[in-house]
Amino acid sequence: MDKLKEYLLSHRAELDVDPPANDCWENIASKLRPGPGFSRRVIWYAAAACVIALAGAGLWMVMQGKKGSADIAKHVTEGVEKGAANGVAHGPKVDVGQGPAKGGAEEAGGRRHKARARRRPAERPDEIEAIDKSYSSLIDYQLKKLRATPLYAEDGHYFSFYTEQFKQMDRDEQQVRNDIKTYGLTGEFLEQLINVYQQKLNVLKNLQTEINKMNNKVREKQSPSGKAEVHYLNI
Amino acid sequence: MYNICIRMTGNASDAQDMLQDAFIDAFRHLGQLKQPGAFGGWLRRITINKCIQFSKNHVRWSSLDQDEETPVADQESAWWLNVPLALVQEEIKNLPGGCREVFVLFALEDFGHKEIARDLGVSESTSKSQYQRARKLLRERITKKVHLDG
Repeated sequence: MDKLKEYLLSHRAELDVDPPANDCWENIASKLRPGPGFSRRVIWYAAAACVIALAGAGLWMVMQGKKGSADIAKHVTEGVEKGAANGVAHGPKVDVGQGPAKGGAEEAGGRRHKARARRRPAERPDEIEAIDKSYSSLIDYQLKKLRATPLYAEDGHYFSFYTEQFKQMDRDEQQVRNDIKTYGLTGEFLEQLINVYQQKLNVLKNLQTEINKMNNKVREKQSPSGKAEVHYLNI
Repeated sequence: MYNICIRMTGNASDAQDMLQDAFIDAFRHLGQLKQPGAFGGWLRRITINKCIQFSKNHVRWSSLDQDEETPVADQESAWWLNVPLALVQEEIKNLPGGCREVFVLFALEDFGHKEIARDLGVSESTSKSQYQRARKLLRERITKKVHLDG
C-alpha cells in the first residue's frame, strides 16, 4: 500500500481537528425537529384532498347538469368511506377541530376511526392505499366521462396539450411511487403524491371544460339538419 | 463527519451545509438502517456521498501533464513522519478542487481509484494523476511551511 495513505489512515482520527461552528448542531436539530406532527399533517392533507375532491365533484355536477350527479356523489362517498374504513382521516370526519363532525359514517366508524387517526401513520401502506383509492376512483370516473364525451369540433389531437400534461403527471406519479418504494413513505412523498393527484384532477376538469366549450360553439353554429363529425378522446 | 466534509469541500460554509444535509438525510431514512450498531458507518457513507455529489457539481477537472501521472510514492522519503497532523489537515483543505477530493477519498476514506473514478465521473487515470498532484502539492507546501516555521 501507498505509505502516505497507510500513515494517514492509521492517524485519521488525529487529523480531525476542525470543530464545526456553534450553531451547526442547532441548525441540524431545528431542521430535524418535527413541525406539526406527521399524523396531523396527513390529516390536513387528507382533509384538503377531500374538500377539493368534493368541490370538483360539485363543479362537475353543475357542468354536467343532470344524471351524472348521483354517480359522482356515490363515487366520492365510496372513496371517503373506503378511506375511513382503512383508518385514514378524511375531511370533517376527523377529530382535529377543523369543523363540526357530520355524516352517518362518523357515528358508525366512531371511536375506532378517531383512535386510528391519532396513531402515527408513517410507513403504513394501508393509509396511502386509502388515499390512493379515493383519488383513483375520482380520476377513473372523470376519465371514463371524458372518453365517452363526443368531440364535435375537433379530433383528439386538438386537446393534446391536456393529454400530454396528464401523461407527464402519470410519469411524476410513478416517480413518487418509486421513491416511496425506495425510501419508505414520508410526509414529503405523501404530499407530492397528493399534489400529483390534485393536478391530475385539475387537468381533467379543465379538459372537460374546454371540450364542452368547443362542443357548445359547434352546436350554436350548426344548422339543425347538419351533422358534425364525431371523435372521441383517447386518454 | 464535519472533518470529512471540510476536507472534501475545502471550506467551512460548504462543509456545514454538507453535514446538515447528511444528518437530515440520515434521520429521514433511519428506518432503512437494519443494524443500529452500523449507524456510524452508515452516516459516514451518507456524508461522503453528499460530499461526492457536491464535488461532482462544483469541480472543474483540469488536464494534467503526463509527468504528474507518474507515481512518486516509491521515490520519496517519508517526509510526513515529523509533520504535525493539524498542518497536514490544514494543507489538505487548501489543495485545489479536484485533487483535494481525490486525495481525501483515496488516502483517508480508503477508496480505490476505480471507485473514485466511478463516483466522481472521471477516468481512472484522472483519479490517479490528481492523487499524484495532490501528494506533490502537499509535500511542497508542507515542507515549505516546516522550513519557514523552523
